[in-house]
Amino acid sequence: MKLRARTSPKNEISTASLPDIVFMLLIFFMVSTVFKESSGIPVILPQAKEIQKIETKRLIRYIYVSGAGDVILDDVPVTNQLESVSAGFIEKRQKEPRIIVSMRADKRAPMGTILEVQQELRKANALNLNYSTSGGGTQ
Amino acid sequence: MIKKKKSQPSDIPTASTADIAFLLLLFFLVTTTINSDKGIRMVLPEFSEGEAETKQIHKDYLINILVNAEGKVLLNEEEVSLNDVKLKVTERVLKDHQAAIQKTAETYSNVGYLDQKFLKKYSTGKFTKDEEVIKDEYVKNLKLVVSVKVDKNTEYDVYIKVLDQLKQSYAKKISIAEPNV
Repeated sequence: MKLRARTSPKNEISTASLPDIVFMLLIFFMVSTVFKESSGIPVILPQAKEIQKIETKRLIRYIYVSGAGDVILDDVPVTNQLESVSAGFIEKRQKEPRIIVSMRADKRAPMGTILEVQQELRKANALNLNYSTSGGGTQ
Repeated sequence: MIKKKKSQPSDIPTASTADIAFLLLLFFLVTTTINSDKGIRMVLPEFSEGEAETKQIHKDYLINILVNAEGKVLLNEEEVSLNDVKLKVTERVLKDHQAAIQKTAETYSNVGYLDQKFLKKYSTGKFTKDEEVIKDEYVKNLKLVVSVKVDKNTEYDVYIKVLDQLKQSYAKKISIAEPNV
């Protein structure tokens, strides 16, 4: 008996639209990427329950306070010259007036320093403040 | 004599476009961090030059919270544990609410839901949807101000814990006192 040679049906997936799909994904990630301006310092954030998420990531500017009370703005320690905090934020507000200041302070940071930083923020009229916390918390 | 120009095939090979795009895509995938910041939101009061603006608040509408350097909490001259702040403030708000409702009910004793039935229901803590609205409205118009005063050496963690509990209770107006100079 003679076996007929099987003609394999063409079952390739068309790849013509592949670049389009990939470009679409690419555009999404390009738009949603925000590059960090400063790397900051590692801090242990306090925990809280009643927290809100900030959706507009582009508007956030960070200020770091370490456990020992060192204040870091844009990767520069400004501990003994807190006036430069208000100067820095006045400049930031000129570029983007709707900024939200996110305070990333360590659990053990002294309140004296934090209140002084807040005074400086008030002077710079940067009034939208966020105490950065991690989730969880009591009750 | 004019030579006939032969049009050359001028196609750019597009076979590698996908590869290039994939490469870019990978780069952005790796550098993107999706997690956004979360925390307790506050709006600071505006800065005023010279003499600080003072506002007199009647002591009936004021809760004073003092936190010392060791993290001990004093609420209206009474020492409370750090985790009881929410309970105490909520209690106070609901007590005020009840008094206000009672007063209204006495004035308009026969109007709609503000009757004895409602007051009885109030003590059980179960509300219908309408009553819930009144309660929310009351809470929104609450005059109660919570003043938080902390020591210079108080730990940030304690402050956040107090603030978190105030946000959880019905107190919406929080005043952060200036540190002593």
